[in-house]
This record gives sequence, C-alpha cells and structure tokens, in this order.
Amino acid sequence: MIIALAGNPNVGKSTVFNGLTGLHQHTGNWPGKTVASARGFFDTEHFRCELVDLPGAYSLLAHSAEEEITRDFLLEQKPDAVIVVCDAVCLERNLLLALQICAVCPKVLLCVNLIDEAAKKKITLDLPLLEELVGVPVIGTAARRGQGLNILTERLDAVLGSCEQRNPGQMQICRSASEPAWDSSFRRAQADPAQVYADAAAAVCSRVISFQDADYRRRDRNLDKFLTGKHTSIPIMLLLLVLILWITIAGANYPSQLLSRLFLFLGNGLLLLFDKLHVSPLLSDFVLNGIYQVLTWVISVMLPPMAIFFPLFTLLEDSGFLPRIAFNLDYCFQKCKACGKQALTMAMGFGCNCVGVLGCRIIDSPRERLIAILTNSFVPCNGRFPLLITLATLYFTGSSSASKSGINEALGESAGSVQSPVLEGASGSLTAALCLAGFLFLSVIMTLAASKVLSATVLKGLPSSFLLELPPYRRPQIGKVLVRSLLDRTLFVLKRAASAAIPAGALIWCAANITVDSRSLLSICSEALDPAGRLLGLDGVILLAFLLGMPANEIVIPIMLMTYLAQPGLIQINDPELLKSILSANGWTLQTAVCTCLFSLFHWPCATTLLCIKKETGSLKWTAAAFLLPTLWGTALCMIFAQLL
Amino acid sequence: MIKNSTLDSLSPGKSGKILEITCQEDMKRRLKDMGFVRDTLITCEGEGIHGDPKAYFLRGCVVALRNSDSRHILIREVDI
Repeated sequence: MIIALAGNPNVGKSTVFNGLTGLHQHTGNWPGKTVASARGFFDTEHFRCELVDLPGAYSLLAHSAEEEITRDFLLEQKPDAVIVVCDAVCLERNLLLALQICAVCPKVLLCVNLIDEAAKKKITLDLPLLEELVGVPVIGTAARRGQGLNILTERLDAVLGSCEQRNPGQMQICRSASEPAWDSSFRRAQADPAQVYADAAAAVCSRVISFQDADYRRRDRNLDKFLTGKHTSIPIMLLLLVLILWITIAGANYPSQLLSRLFLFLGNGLLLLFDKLHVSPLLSDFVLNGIYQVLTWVISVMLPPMAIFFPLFTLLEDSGFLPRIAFNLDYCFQKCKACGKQALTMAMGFGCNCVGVLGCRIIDSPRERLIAILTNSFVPCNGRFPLLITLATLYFTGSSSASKSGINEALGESAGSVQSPVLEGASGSLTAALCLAGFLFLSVIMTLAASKVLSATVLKGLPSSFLLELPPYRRPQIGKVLVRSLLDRTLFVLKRAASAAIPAGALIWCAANITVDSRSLLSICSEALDPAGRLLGLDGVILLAFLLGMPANEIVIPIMLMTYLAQPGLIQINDPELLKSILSANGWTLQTAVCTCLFSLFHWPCATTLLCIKKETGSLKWTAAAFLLPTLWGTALCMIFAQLL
Repeated sequence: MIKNSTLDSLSPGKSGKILEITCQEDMKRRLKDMGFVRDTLITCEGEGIHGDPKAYFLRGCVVALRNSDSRHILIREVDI
C-alpha cells in the first residue's frame, strides 16, 4: 500500500512522517529532479504501508518544482490513500489544499496537526463537525508528542480496508450548499476554482473553529514587533550572529582537540600495523602523512563547528525566526534586484557554502536563484573561519595578552587544535567572534554588491514577486533538531568533504615529496606563483596554499606553514608568537594579513561547492561563472588594497 | 468610512477586503493559492524597516508581500 503525505510547507509534515515511520525511512531524490524525497515504512493492523513524504505545496495548480512533484504524484501515481497534514492554528489556509486533494483523490485522511499549539492559543476545533463537513476522516494529532498517531493509523487501516470509494469531485462539502456564503460564492465564481475552494474553506472554518481568546496571536504579534521592528530588528540579528559564532567557536575548540588527538592515536596505531605488515616505507608515508593526515585534519577541523552550527541554525529555522530574517533583509535584496530569500541561503552559507547552494532551491525565479547560487561563496563558511580568526587575532587585535593564560596551557600540546589557542577562554572566543562578525558583515555587503552587479549585467531582469509566509513562532524540538540536522546536513557535508580531501591529501603529499633538482615541487610552484601573489599583496606560497586548499579551505594555513618551513607534512603551530614570527620571517606584514583575509573571503568556491553548483545549475558555464566571479572580485579588492594603500 | 485603495497603502493595524487582483498571471495564481481571493478579509500586521515589505494576516496566516506586488491588489478598507 502506498500512502502519500501531503500538506502546506511548515505544518509539521516531517514530524508526522518521522512519528509514523520511526527510523524505517530512506531519503533520496525524485527521479530527474533535485528535490529530496523521503520514503518510509510502517504497519497498520492489516496493511504494510509505504509512506511517501511529498514536498510542501500550497496548491495542486503547480508553480514550483516541489508542487509539480506533489501534483504529479497524487494524480499520476495514484497512491492508495493520502494523508493531508494541516496546521490547526491556521486551518483555513491549509484547507485550501486539503479540499483540492479531497476533490481529486478517492481516499483521503485529514490529519489536523499541532492541536497542542492550538490549545495553547485557546483555539477549539470541532473535529467531528469538520469530518462531517469535509466528508473524510479527520484526526487531531500533536505529532511531536506522538499524540493521535495511533488513531491515525487505526483510521487509515479502516479506510484502506473499506472498498467504498468516495466519488472524487463530489465533495461532501456540497451538502453544506445550504450555507449562504458557500451558495452565493459558488454561483458567482464558478469559473474560478481558487475562489470556490477559498470560500468553502472559510465557510467550513467559521463553523468548526471557535476562538476563546479573540486576540490569540498576541504573543506572535508582540514578538514580531520586536524582531522585525524598525529599531530593534537589525541589532537583534547582529547580536544573534555574534552569539551563534561565539557558541560555535567556543564550543568547537575542545572537541576538535579531542578528535585530532584521537586521530593522532589511531595514526600511530596504523603506523605500527603497517610496520608489522612490512608495507614499504614510501607507501606507508604516502598513506599516513598524505591521505590520512589531510583527511583526519579536515574532519577534526570541520566536524565540531558544523555539528554545533547546523543544529543552531535548524533551531532558528524551527522556531520561525529565519523567515523573519528574510523579511527584514528583503528591502536590501530588492534594491539589488534579488530575492529576500537569498538572505536565508546566505545564512546557510555561513555553515557551508555547499549547503547554501543547495538551499537556493527555495527561490522560485530562476534568475534570482542563479544570483543566489553565484554569490553564495561570498560569505565565508565554517572552513574559512579558522584562518580568519587566527589572522585577526594575530594581526588586528593588537596583543593577544587578554588570553595569555590560554596559551601557556596549550603550549605543550603537539596535536593540532583547530583554532589557535589564543581563543581559549570565553573572552578570547568572544573577541574572535566579534572579529569574525566584522568579516561576515563585510561579506554580506559584498554579496549585495555582487548581486547588484550581476543583475545589472549578465542576469538582467526585474525583481520578481516575493511571497513569503511568516509562520507562527513555535518552540523548537531540541532533541529532534539535533538528530535531524546532524544526519541531514552535517553528515552530508562531511561525506562530500572527505571525498575531496583524499585526492587533495595525495596531491599535496606528492607536491611536497617529489623533488626536482633537490627542490620540492611545492617550492618550485610557489616560486612560480610569487609574482602574481605579490601583485595581490600576498606571496606565492599563500596563493599556492589557496589553490591546494581548494578541496577544503581548512588546510590553507597548514599548507602555508608546510611550504614556509619546507616540511613534508601538514603543520599546526599552536603558539601564536611562534606562528607570528614564522610569518614575519617570511615577509608578512599587516598588509599581507589583510590581503590574505580578503582573499580568503573572496576567492574560488571549494571543490565541494563547485560540484554542488554544477549539479544545481546543470551547466558548466554557470559553474565557471561561479568560480570566476568571486575570484575576480577578491583579486580586484586585494590589488586595490595592496597597490593603492 | 469606506474607501477603495490598494493593499500597499493599508497601514499597520488596518484591515480591508480584497476586491480584485490585477497582478501578472503567474503571481496572481500564486496569490490565489495562498487564499488571496475576492472578499477575503486582510489585515496589515506590520512593515519592514523601510516600510517594505509588509506583513499581512489573512485566513489564519501571516504572509509577507513587497509593495510592488501589493500595489496590484485592490481592496476596500473596512473597520473591524
């Protein structure tokens, strides 16, 4: 039995899905489409059901790729039954889709979800009456508490078992034709189905819903006044940005150290194993110091911040704050002839540009989506944070005396820690977060500028319409958020990053160990790149490090140090004074640091992101554009800074 | 007092009933799917930092629209 799960976006559809199927689910993509699909299995008393989670839709008259899939699945695949999930708090709008589905599908169940939220807002729903009016089984659920789900399966079982077929197109609602509102509107607007459904939904709701508290949305409205208010919205967003960065930086430090120690331990184990197996020393060096080191480096640097950042991001998403960010920033994007939803994909880019690029699917207009994709790597991802933070604390914050104690603690450590130990301690990580927030602010402004440039040149066009739902604020479910964002986003990114890190490790090892005229390829290349680097206020080594760091931006600093010190493997230096003296010995000045930061902010997207862009746009031309745009941007900025100032 | 105007001129806290939608076909259909049809009661909830976009409450939901879009929605202001 195939059961479809349909509903508006943001009504807790996936919570119902998870509640019904538990862990018996798998995700993939719809054939030929880039929209994710989830399927899962569960059992009713008599049937084994495969549940298909359809993308959120507002209507069966499809507009977006998501809605097309929903419509095609319902009309062509003819599932055995459809469960339509509705949000009890805004039932009326949800009924528009539900009624449409009732009209075309023979077996429908209406799952009125979030009744706990409705109860909290003192909204009472007469579900038996709703069932009578719409003519399909109605089940009230609070899926995140698991309430009502067993009744849902029971009634689904009954629906599947009955051979009685409701005749599609003859909604029971027609019985309420005596209702004056329904009657008059039906006569007047027969040609417009949207009007018919809307009037029907209004008529049903006026009888089913009663508000004990006439002003049930007081809390939401007050929150909105605060979070989207003229004077408060921008400071709140900035504060939140600093807070999230701070939590990410401070929280990731320790687990990163633990991970790298663990990998060091495992690496030593592997070395012993290789010795025992009499693997040739060259091969063992290649595998351990090349591939293994880069791979574990990337993981230990990347995983902890991401495992902190993404759940925080999902928390914001679930609470309903993210659409408000898009609302607040839409004006700026409108001025740049782009879509306000780009603010969301940009925010995702702070976690990982690849995820940000994927997120651009939420933008309907192809032109605006392309702008969002091409400019996504203008905001630095987690992988570029360490470089920015390290250089900022070394060169911009003056002395690092504020956290000297942290340095002493960490001095003895040989294993690499992610961020430089300057950051240990809350005050240190707060300074870092502030510096970082400054960089991010710059990158946001540059994103807007680049969007404007794009829409004035290659991607000309009028800003298309902007229609954004601002869902009610909800208390997010912490536990589920953790699991979901870990599984969905973090692992996804990690998988892609690891697949890019392995060849990079091999390449870097070769470059460092193959020698021509007793000089390594690495130093030959960096020398060749030196004139170009100097022009940008960098040097050849820095440029080479960015090139080799393309698979994963985390390894830029280690490659730099490795080349400066002519070492055969990646190096992490924990002592900031030592680090600074090495850099200074190689000709670094404040200008070099600024240019390196600028170049780190604006250069080619990492390999993972490029792959993503290729997949999303399906075009080599746009992938090349996504490569060139930030590169040229950064080159120009660095050149201006280095040559003119 | 009853007067006809466009949705973008509805100031926060005020309500109106939709008379007609004159947007381009594509946007019109999307609006209809969200429940923007004739006779719908719509309330302006608040506005963005520059008075654009604005948030509107209708059919139990809040939807944000740019003024350039809401300019094409004719309403009759009503008191509630």
